[in-house]
Amino acid sequence: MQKILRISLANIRKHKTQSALLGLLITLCMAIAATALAGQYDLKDIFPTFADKYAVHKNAVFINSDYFNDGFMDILREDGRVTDAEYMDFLYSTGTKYLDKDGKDNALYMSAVTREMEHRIEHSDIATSLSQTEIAAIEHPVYLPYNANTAMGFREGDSFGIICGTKVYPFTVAGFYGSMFMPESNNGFQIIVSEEDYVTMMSVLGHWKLVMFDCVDTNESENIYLDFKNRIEEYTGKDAGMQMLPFYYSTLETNSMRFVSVVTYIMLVMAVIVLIAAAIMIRFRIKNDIEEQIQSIGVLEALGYTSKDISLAYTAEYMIISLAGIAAGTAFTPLLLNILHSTGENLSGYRADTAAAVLPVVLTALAILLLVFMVAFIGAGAVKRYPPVTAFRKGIAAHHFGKNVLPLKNTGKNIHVRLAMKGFLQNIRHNIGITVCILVTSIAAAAGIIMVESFGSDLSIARKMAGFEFSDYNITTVDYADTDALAEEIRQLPGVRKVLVGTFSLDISSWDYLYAYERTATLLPVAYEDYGECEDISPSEGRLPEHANEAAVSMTFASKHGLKVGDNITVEKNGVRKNFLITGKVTAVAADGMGFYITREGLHNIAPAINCHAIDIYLEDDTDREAFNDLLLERYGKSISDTAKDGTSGDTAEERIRAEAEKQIAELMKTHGVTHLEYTVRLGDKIISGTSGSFLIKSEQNLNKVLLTQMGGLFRTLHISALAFTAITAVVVCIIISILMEQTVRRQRRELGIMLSMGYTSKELMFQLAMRIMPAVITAVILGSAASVFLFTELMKVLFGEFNVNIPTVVISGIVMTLFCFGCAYIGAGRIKKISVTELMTE
Amino acid sequence: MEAILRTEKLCKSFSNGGLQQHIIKNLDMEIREKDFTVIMGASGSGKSTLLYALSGMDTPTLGSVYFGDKDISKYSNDRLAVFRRENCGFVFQSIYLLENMTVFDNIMTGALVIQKNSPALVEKVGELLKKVGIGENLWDKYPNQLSGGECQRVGIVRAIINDPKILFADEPTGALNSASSRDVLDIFTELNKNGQSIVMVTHDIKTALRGNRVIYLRDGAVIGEHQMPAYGTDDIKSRQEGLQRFLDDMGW
Repeated sequence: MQKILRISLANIRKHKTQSALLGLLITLCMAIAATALAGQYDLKDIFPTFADKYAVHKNAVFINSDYFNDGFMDILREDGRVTDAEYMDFLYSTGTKYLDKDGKDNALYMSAVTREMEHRIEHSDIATSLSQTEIAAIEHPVYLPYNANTAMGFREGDSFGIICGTKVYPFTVAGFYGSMFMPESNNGFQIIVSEEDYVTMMSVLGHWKLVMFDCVDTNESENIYLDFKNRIEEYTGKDAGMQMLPFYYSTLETNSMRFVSVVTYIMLVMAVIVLIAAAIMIRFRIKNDIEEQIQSIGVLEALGYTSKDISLAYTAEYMIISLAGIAAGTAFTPLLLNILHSTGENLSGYRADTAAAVLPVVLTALAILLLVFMVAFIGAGAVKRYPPVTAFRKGIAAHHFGKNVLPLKNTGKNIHVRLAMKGFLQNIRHNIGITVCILVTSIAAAAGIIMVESFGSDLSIARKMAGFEFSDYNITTVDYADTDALAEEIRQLPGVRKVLVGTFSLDISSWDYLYAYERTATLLPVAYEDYGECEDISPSEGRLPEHANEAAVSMTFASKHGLKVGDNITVEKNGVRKNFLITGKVTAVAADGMGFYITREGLHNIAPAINCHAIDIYLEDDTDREAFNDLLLERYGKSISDTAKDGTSGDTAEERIRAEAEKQIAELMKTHGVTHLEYTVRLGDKIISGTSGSFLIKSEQNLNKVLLTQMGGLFRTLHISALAFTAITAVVVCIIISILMEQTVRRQRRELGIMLSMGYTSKELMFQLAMRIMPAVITAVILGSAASVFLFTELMKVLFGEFNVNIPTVVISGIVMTLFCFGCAYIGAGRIKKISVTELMTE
Repeated sequence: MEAILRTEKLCKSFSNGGLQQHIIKNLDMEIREKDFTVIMGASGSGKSTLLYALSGMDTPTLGSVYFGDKDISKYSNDRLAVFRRENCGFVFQSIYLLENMTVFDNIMTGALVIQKNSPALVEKVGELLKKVGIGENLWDKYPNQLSGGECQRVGIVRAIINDPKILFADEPTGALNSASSRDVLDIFTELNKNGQSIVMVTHDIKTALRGNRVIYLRDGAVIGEHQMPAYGTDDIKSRQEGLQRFLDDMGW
């Protein structure tokens, strides 16, 4: 054993750089794989630990107060699986506008509770750096979920404003806590406010009931909810649609890991890629080492070493390198694991102390060692083919008898390219290894680039897949407003690029549904006059509707009901039934894929009562968004409830008169349902007049901001993961090519020396060596990019239903990858420069 | 005859385990155009080191090597490579053919580094090969399919394909049998007769006889020089005796 180790260590010392680079690959692989596996193992406990420690109830259903009926609780309690159930009023709104810490308006799903109410949901500790005296001094304190601190950057003492119409309700962040059901921006935030502020918020947020229940088996919670919903629909005779929003244990548990799992899967894929690259490099190095050291092998065999001893020496060499790499990788694992834990807490919104698992780290190390042993031992088995005499004669590897490929007498303009291609063809088997290595890394690089592009800051992937328009502003008009006339007025405002009138708004409580298949399937009508004007809704298959009898459905819906383009679907509303021809399918993951795309005329035919009260406003790029928002709300967005309650005052008589007039208008509209009012007041010589025209907007949302707040954290994490993924791929490519070039220069020292003696410059030879691997690189990059596009598209289809890769980006990344490989190879071949001609030739 | 190469206080040292070994010491000498210069000396006297320093294959530790009026000792490695391709041809004892290339491609590799490919070039390669006795049937063979003599003749064609101003030869017959050696030396004689400047390192008297100027090195310094008429223009016996006497005087 000692003699074997001595040979192994001698080999490692002889090829220090290559051994170090290979060790670095193993380090990367170990650190990434161990972190991903240990992270997955630890983080899966984060939600159960939190729920066990803090939750009062483990399941919840948000039910719109307008839909709720006390009988619902009896239905729930009748279920034998339910052990406890209660409900309470609370405030909740989708697309609640708020001012972030920088004073910019954003939007997310938000609920508000008092501390007392919160104790009925969970009893989380409050984390704050403020003293009780400081908190007591805050006029409007608010407690936000931990995620607002870790992911959104809020600190104690920061301002937090809730916006309603033109009015901002200011709060000051007093601390942070763990929320069971709305812990992070994707699910939404549950904020804790004082009892006085809760009363104020009652005119801002929607009124909902929070129904909470526990059951014997948490795995049954989903079935309990579904049965509960079905029985409620039977009981009321009305479809629950989006009037009931479930937050049950199993989904919360799955959701808590959903996003962090994506990150760990990315890391695992990366680790596998690095491991494959390392395995191929080991195989490649052993083969070359045996060829290069064939005479030394002969000497060792002549001295009495068996071929098994020599094979084991080679195997031991790579086991030693791997052990060193594993040790270094293990040292880095706690650091990476800390980052992953923080990411997991940020993405899930839950905080819980979980113990770091050792088992995944040990298993990762053993798996790497086993793979390295197998690859090295099988590769080193080639020594058997060389008994001493054959080895002394250098085998027959150095002898050439084959066909002369690319004869130089047919050389075109560039001898260097010709020699490079000749070198490539003469080493075709060796190049297959390179192709496989680069292929694997190309797949990773292309996937990384696609992810970086897809999960960029503009959330383009989410916009493409949502199935709704992401205009700059989506406003919902009040029932009495002439939406088309208002749209026309808005179209004339400065900075407006386009205005569309449709049905979709973010206020889910206002959604009205259509039904199909004898009311077993719910559809959310999305209607536009001309879909050609839409920018984010586009068909994945077929086309969008153009006539009243045409419709498009989501890919999810089509797949669930086996619908094809050209099929008919019968839709029902209030007893009216209409047939629609399916002209296309749309990738629409929002609203559970319920989107039913029809023309406005088509909507009128099936449901005349559903009006198009939504306006999508698209602004020019250079339009000042905030100034436009102020103008829009000032002209059309007076909040009836605000004006009616608060009234306003002013410095001048005219301002005071206008404020009083608006208050009166608001009062009349709110109390008596007046739809239009005008006033004229004479003040000295001045005539002051106005109308109810500034009370036309019921709600106004910037869908991009809602999306950004909800998905921003996830997208940022994915974006950073993808960047890291791409960067690691680049490092792996660099290492692979460096090992390759060092090996090539070592193996061909003599030939390179001869070429130098003939007058080839080292730069020309570096170019030739780099060019020699380019056919393999180009082939691998093309195949890798294609495979990556295919795999990524299929993966995204599974996750989101549909996905289209931006092909020009992949092409550009392929070109960059090719040039990067060339650059690495050229620089790697630079070691020729360090060796003199005579030294090279006489080696 | 005009000097084509000149050295000034040329020194070459090697570091061996921290110990400096001075192989060439303050050497001043010149190589004249169209001469067949032979460098002789005992093993370790610095013959090959001098040849490589003169030819730009290696850079001197100190001193200068002038090619015409240009000091090539200050050139970078890549500039030296360009200098070699434009001015020098090399024939080695170990021949150094590219194992993975055919006879024809070995020569084309040397040719195309400086010349453009053309039918005239291909024809020239063929003519030179025929001239050194390498028949067409061997042109597509690989070096390991040829005899040592055949390989060396291919090496010579590769060395002269670019019409170098100087042909450097390091023990060109060292690895050949006597018949092959004679063939190779005949080629050298013929080349020199046609005006080719040659610098050859050898420790063999018979080989040295082909030159017209013999420089003797000891411990990295020139200690003697012997002039002879061009080979074939005098009596071979007296030529041999003259050289032998010179070498005896040098302590050969």
